[in-house]
Amino acid sequence: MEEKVIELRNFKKSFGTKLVHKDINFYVRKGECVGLLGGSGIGKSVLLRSLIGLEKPDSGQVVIQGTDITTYKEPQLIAIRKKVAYVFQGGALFDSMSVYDNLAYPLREHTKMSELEIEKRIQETLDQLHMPNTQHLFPADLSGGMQKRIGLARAIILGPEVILYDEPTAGLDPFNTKKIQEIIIELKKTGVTSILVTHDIPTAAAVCDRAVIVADGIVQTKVTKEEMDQKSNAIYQQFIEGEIR
Amino acid sequence: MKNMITGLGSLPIQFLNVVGGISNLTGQLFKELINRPFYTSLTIEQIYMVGIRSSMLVFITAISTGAVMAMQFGLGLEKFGGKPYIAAIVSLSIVRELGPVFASLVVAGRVGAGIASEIGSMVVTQQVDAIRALGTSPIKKIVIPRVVALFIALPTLSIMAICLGIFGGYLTGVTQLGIDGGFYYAKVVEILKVHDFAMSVGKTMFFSFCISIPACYYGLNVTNGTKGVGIATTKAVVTGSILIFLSDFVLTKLFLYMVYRM
Repeated sequence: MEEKVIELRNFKKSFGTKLVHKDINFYVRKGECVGLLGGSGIGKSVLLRSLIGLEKPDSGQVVIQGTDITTYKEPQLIAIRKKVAYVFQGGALFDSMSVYDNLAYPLREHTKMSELEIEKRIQETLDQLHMPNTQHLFPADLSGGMQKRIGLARAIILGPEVILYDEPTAGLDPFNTKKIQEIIIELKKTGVTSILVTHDIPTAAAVCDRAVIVADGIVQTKVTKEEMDQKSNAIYQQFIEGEIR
Repeated sequence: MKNMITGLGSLPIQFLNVVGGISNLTGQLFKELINRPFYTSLTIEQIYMVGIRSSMLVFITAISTGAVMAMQFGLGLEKFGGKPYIAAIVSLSIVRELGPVFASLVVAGRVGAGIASEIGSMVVTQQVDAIRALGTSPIKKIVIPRVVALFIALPTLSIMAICLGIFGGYLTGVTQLGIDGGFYYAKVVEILKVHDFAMSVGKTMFFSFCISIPACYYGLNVTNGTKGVGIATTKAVVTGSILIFLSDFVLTKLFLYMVYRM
């Protein structure tokens, strides 16, 4: 059996009196890309944030590479966050910094690279994402799609083992959506494990190996690649036709 | 009406939440302050932002306060032949009380609001989450540079404000009240002692924490988007100002006890 890189066990989370997740269980194997599907406001991003300790579950376990990180404190989580990158929905770029400084941030913090090496790495990453000559721009100068791609570039620049994508194609035009899909597929080819939170069914179908549908605080079904392609899973079919939320 | 009563009922809990939150942040701040990495360049940048960029406002407040005080005391004391005491009264008031308190209040308004709104906006746009997700600490990257910068900048601003306040009093004394310049200067030098300045600097060091820590706390705990940023900004200024007034009484009492045993 292949190694489970990420696993949620009996995950329960509430905000105030609202119980968002009753009992979530799923795992992701090494090199897999799993789609996390569900309606708006059902807490998909909460699950994703929990995987790097940005949220704590009320009970249950968050297991990363065989280690339960639920009780980890911030200093311990730093080691996890170097390996598990998070791509924010809106990019979450530092608006007081240029694109270059945004991309240099993780390199300056976690490596001993010289400024020359950092510059080279940034150039390579921007070329990989088809965004040359953008280093000097500030986030306010970029379109939504470009901000997402720079956010993605910042997340992958350290070469993470796992990437968590939070709605990477939400609100994008078909051109930018396709670009993001291509980048995710390229990264997958390098052996990166990933989870993709999305409403965008074509993107999920294009890049994911499996999907998990969450509704009413539990995992409703796990969908295989074949089931996604053939739309043969009844719950998946209901979800894409808008019959369940 | 029911909501208002419920809201009033929850005030003590909210108050305890804030006290707990600020205490927790203060604890984390001092814990992380001694650990590497140190972001010196961020601190220097903040000294410029909170110190140098606040200087004009502080200086204008100080010089006008000194000038107006001298004028008011001049008019009042002239009837009793008390004009020779104006230099002593103005300079002592400014050094011990008005210099540090006014400088701190002005900075609380300008910088406290700025810190809370800047950090609040970073929270709303997930930049604080991004700092954490990128394996760095928001306490080290955001809070410590601002707290340290204000700890350095506020006493410096206060000393400069004191000098300008005394100068303002001198200008009014000489030009409006007909006091001899040399006499005024001699009285100021005679009355002021080193411990008066020590008291002033000590107070502003403490006041810097009263401004920066609540401002960072409210900024980091912004909820409800941009509306929340506005609320956090107001709360930061109000809390900072209240803490300055409350701690001023306690610190004054403490310093007076230490110096004069009174």
